[in-house]
Amino acid sequence: MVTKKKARKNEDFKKVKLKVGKKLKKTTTTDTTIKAKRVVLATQLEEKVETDDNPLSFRGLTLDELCKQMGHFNAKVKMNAIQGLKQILTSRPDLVNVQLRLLVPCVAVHVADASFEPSTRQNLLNLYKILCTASIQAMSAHITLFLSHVLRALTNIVTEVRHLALSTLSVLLDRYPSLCRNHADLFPCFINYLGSSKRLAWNKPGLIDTILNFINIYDINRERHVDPSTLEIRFENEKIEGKSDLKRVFVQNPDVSPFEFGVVSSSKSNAVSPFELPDALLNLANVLAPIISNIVLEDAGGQFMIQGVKLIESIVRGAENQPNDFLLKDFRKQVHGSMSAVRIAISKRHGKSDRFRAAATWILD
Amino acid sequence: MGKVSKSPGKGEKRIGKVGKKNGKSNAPTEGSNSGKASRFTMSERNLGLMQEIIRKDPESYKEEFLEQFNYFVQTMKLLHLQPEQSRQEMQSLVDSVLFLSGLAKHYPKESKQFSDSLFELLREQGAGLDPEVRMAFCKALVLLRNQDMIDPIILMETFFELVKVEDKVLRKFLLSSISAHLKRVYHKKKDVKMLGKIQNLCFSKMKDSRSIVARAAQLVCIDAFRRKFWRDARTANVIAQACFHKVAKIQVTSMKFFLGSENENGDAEDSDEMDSDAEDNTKTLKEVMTSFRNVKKTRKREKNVERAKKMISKKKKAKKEGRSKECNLMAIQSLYDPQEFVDRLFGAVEAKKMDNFEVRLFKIALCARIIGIHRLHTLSFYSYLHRFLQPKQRDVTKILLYAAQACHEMVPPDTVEQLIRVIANNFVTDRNSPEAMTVGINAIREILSNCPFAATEELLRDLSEYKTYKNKNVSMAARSLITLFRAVNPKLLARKDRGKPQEKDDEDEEYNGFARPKVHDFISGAEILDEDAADGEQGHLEEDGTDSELDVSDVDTDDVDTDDDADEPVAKKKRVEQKSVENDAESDADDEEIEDEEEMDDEEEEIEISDEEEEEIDDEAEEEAVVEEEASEAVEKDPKLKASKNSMDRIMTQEDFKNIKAYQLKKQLIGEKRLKKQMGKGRSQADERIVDEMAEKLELKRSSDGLARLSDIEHFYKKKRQSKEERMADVMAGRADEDYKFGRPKKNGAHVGRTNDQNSKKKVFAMVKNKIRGRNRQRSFRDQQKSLRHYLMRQSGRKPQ
Repeated sequence: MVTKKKARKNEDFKKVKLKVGKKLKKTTTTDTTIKAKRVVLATQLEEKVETDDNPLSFRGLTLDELCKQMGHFNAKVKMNAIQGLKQILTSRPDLVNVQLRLLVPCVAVHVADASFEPSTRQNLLNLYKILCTASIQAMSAHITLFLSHVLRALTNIVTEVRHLALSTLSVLLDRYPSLCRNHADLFPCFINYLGSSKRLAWNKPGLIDTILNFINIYDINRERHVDPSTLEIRFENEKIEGKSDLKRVFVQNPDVSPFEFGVVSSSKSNAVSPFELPDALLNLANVLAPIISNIVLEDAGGQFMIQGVKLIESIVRGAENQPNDFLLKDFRKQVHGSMSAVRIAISKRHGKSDRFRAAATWILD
Repeated sequence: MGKVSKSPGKGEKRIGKVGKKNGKSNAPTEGSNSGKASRFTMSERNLGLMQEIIRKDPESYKEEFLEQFNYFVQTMKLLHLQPEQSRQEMQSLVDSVLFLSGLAKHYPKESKQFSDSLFELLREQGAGLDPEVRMAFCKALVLLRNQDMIDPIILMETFFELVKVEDKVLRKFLLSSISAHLKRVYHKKKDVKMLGKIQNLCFSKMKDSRSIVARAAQLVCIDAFRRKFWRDARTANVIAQACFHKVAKIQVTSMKFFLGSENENGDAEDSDEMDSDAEDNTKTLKEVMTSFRNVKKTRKREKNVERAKKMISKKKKAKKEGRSKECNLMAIQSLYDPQEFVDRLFGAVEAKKMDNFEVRLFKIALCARIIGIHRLHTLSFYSYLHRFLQPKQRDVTKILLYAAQACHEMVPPDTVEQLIRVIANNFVTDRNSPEAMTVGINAIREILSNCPFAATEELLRDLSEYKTYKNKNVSMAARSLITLFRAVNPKLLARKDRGKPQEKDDEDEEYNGFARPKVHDFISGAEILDEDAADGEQGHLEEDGTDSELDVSDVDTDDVDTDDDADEPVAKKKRVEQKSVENDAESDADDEEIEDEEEMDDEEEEIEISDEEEEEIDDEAEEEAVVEEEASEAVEKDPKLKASKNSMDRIMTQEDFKNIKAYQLKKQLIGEKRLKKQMGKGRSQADERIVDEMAEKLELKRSSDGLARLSDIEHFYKKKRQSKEERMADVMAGRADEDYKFGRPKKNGAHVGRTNDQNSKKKVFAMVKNKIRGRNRQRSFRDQQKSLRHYLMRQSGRKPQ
């Protein structure tokens, strides 16, 4: 008979029967689980105090917070952030130059946002106008990124996005012509836009003005003037004789970024312009011909007469004064052929056509 | 006014004629002017619909394609400036990329620029891109590759660069796309040159200094080997070199490839390669289930359906097992220099470097398997295993298995003897638990089945004594060892364990020795062919008769007539004996025939001395003039002579081999039946079971690679039954952390049961009214006065204030 007492005594002397080769459980592990009833974030409880260095919007948000909200996925949050930024920047214009590094990457990206309502889009355009009050020196470091966003939006599939991009481009061209001239992709992208079927209609406000601004930044005949002068350089005496100031020769444009030194810089500068390249000018003529012919034929009231005359004059001047026409075979003939639509339109025009004829004399021959 | 209205129309027409560009640009405007929402205008906001329209007519809609292409180009320039973008911005880019890649084959010039910009961005900004954008780019490139628009080699190099990015989803996609490409090249295009190029690229990537790239290339090679794209020796050897990589994970992957993890093999092959077969199986199963569902239910039909299900599942399992075995064995056999490989691998095991135990175990396993299959000489491997052969060692059953796998007939007997002695001393002692003893005896049995020459009589008799051990598992293991040596070498066993010995067999038989392979003079069972040929054609019979006569005349010229006379009665008596054999009448005849069969079963060399002895026996027989003895001797002589003659004189055909095989099977069956009849009475069912299982195991070994299995080591005939106390202890241990008495009232603690107030509510009022009266008497004097005043006021008609 095995009683409980005997069994308890014999517990120590039992032979342990383990499976051969199997692992034993560890008895020395430490349980490190933690439980918490409440987690408090102390920084969220701090009150925000408005100071000169830390302005707040009408909803009590700082500039950093508004820029973060610009990256939100909800369109309404972004709309409120745009309004907040407008309010801060209108009340504190001095922040635009200082905070441009923070503002441009998060604001410029929304030019291509298709989820905005028309009112929000208008607010965004107004915000861009406020941003463009920055000085040329401040904007020169950010114009590349800004223009990349705008040119990308110009190729978007949504039509409203293209219109907003065109308006933004107009503001930039008007405010920073020298900086925009240095962007290598601006000319071909805008030409592609004018040649596509989804551009703004010719008689809508904004298109022709933008085209004129676009041409102005590249038209070198308007700005370039030749001052004939004589310099004598004598190497024997190490002397230069003449009346010219050499300082003015190297500093061509006082408004350009200090990093854009004309002799050393590798980027495009005043030396090269699409108006000096025959193929670029030919593309421009091909693209502008339908627009000019529409102006000549359909604008009977003369509302766009001045703009049309300017367009014709710019193309004619560029073709006549082309210094590199030898690069392209039959350059003048091709330009003349591309403008045949304009020539036909002028002959068919009802109404006053004297100014058009005077401007297009070279084409009509 | 009429004139004014007409002239603009004419102008528009002329403008339309001048240039195609003007016409194209004006056409959508006219479409949009009309009030209809056409398919084209709807597609301007829907890229999927636009893609469908462009595919139908690529030439007409090139402008719409170029719009998206320009958008893509501008976005790529922006990404170079600012790689971090918001999710919505990236979604439009992803849509654009998928659109362009779907239409790339219609516009070759733009697709070249498209793929170049994708490659450039993935190379420069691959790690900084958003994961979804990166995945979309890779999918676009795969789509272009499937349309043969980019070079697969360049794409694969880019993918191997992208493997570095810490993105698990991307890595899975890259590896699966490479495997899918290999499958496509192998099955559809059958482009051997391209397969070779990709193979060279993968082999060079496996030598890359970045371990993640090497691992990706390794996984591609292993997958391609399993799925027969690159099932050749070169691939197997490149994977073998990865066993010596400096990263342990790459080593383990290569070693698992050679050793074979069953689950991985089965799952992988099912999902990828077995698509068509899986469909067939699914169809079959579907057909079975559908027909059963639509038919009247009877018991017989239910049984048939269940049987069909089992058959289907059996087929699946058989396919899985067979394929994985074949693959691993082929890979091991493809090694160029297995001896050098094993020496290096064993050197890596023996090194002082601190590896994980699991990694070292893999290396030991691979060493053992290659030694066993290729029969290599790595003698320090066996002594290295001595330190691990302890019952307390982790995974000791696996190490015992590896020791058994590494033993083959080319190993010197003293080495194997030491190994067996270590196992016997450490496992097979009374100090150990019965499980350890069982495992030890099973391991020794598996080792001795490969190296029977290493067994000593002393050791074997000690182990045989355990057949009467009290534990069932140990005794059964010992009996299986005895059964093995009854077949292999009964001399080493004690006399009582040998079974019923055959005296003549002991003298003549030669057993497997160290480095002594078997040499055959003839094919067993070939004696049957003569009769078959005689039945077929009579000409053969005549020729055979002529030859025999010539031989007889050459040997004995004086006794020619006597021999001829003697043959005829012998033939008659053979017929009589056959009839008696069928009737099972005479036991003597049975014994003689059993002896004959055993002699024929044994594949022996004929020795001249035995021939001389037989000649002497012939002379004695003639002197005695006993006809029966002459007949039995003739029967003994003839089959072997016929077999050797037939084996040497002719060239065998397929039918000849078929007949030989059938004859062997027939003889085997008859032998088994007679053995069962004779031995059935004295033998227990357990012994029969051991014999059957042993026979099955030997057959399985011969059909596959000949190595032992883990189930052979860990085989327990009887599981120990737990007593009730032990089972209840397990139950209580399982419930230790659990508070399982929810829903029941508490019987311990405060306020168990009901209070007096609760109890008084259930009582008749007469029982408790006295107590209620008593409450008023215990009030304070002030309270009494107040209540009295209220009472008197109410009596006099006034309300108390």
